[in-house]
Amino acid sequence: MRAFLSQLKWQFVILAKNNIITMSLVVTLLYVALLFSLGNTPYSDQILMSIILNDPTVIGYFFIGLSLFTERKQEVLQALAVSPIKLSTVVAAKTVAITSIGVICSLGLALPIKGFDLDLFHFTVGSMALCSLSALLGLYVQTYTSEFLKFTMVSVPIFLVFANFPLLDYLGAMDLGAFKYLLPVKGSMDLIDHSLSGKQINFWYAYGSIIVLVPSCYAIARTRFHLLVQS
Amino acid sequence: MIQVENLRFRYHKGADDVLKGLSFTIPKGEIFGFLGPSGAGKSTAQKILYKILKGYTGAIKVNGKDLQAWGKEYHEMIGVGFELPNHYQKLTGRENLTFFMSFYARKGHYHMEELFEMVGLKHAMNDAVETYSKGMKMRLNFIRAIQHDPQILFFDEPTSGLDPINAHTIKQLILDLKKQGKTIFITTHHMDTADQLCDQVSFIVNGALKVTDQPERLKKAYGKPIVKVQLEEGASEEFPLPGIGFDQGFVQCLQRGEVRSIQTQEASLEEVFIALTGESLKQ
Repeated sequence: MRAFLSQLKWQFVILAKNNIITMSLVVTLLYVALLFSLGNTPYSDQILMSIILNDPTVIGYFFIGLSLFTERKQEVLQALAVSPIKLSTVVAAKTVAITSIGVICSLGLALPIKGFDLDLFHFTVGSMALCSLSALLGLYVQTYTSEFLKFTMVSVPIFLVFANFPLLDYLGAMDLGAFKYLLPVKGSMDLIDHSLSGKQINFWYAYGSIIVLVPSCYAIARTRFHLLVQS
Repeated sequence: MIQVENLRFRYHKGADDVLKGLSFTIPKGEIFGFLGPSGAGKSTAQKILYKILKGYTGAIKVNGKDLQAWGKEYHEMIGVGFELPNHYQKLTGRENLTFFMSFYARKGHYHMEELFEMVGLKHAMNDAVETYSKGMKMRLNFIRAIQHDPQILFFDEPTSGLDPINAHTIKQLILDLKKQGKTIFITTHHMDTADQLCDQVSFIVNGALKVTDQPERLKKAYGKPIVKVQLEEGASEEFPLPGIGFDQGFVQCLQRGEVRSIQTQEASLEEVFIALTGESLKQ
């Protein structure tokens, strides 16, 4: 636990020094400004939901990718490999650090618009799951690409399926039928939707999918990270 | 102490062996030099010894215990100085060292300032590493490797990218570490570095060790036991080294004119390497 907390502290330092925290906050502020400029519309919950789905997923997915890309470019991973730190601790600390930033940003989006008229607990859990799944996916995909441009190009179709299909389904632009329950972010989205609009959801499914998916994705990302570091 | 016996490794099933039965022993407190051209298998052997590559055959014992039986505590015991700088560029030198030091349960006996002072970086310890020159980053690599006071040290091209003064400082520090009883494994292309530092050297070519011996013995074995006298007038003569003091020809040659130089003709390590392997290290 001590090693994890120490790693977590350093991950925040590294993210801050690489301006990733600043970038996340700036992007969130831009979204908040956009939401305020739109004012009260009949679709404000849907717009908020769309932005909330986008912001933490982008922060999780792309910023962990950027962070790992930077480490690979600076060749620090080989130095980690010959140290006593467990790589599983590194992956956990990276994910928790970026997830914390994503959650803060999504709360920063929701609170100014909804005030405390939202279910904070379910919102936070949904946002945490959304961001950690995005981060673990971003980390996994990044291990396959050596350049950031390649990473972003490969990410387009992945991100489409991961974040945009569920959003389009949520907005009613496409009907995925029962397939939507196979989408990794569906459970998290349901929790956020419930916390924003009070819509009834299947909590068993939402929490069940999060409990299964987050550790599974962590295990897969950890294995890939392990292979990358030791290659 | 490191004992390697018949070490073989291939990256994929069906591929050729990258390492073809390496055997060597590094006694505690000795400096061992691993010399070979690019692609010879040095990095692979190093990665196995760092315990990050698995799937090898043969036996490796470190301090009497099979390498595979060591857990993460193995990495508490070793320090690695990489060939190229690898630091978090946005962090300061001090932050980089503190970050890596946080991985170790056993804290080293060095103070942070002392480490930076050792390699002449004290003035830059609070500067971001991105502002360092390559030589400064290499010196930071070096102190990161030793900061947790490891028993076994691996240095890959420890003087690469350093000016002669800093290269001398690093070599002196390596010799000091040896005096402290550290076991040191060096990989280098620099024959002078190997010659000055190593108690034993191994030449590796195409995954196989050609020879392992003391540099002095190799130079002696592959050199000519002769003395070459060069006179100012341009003439030069060679005389057998054994019995040189009684060699009348040698004495007469010295009396004949101004002597420019007198040199024994022992081989350099590079010449020994070429003679043994038919390859040059400068690849």
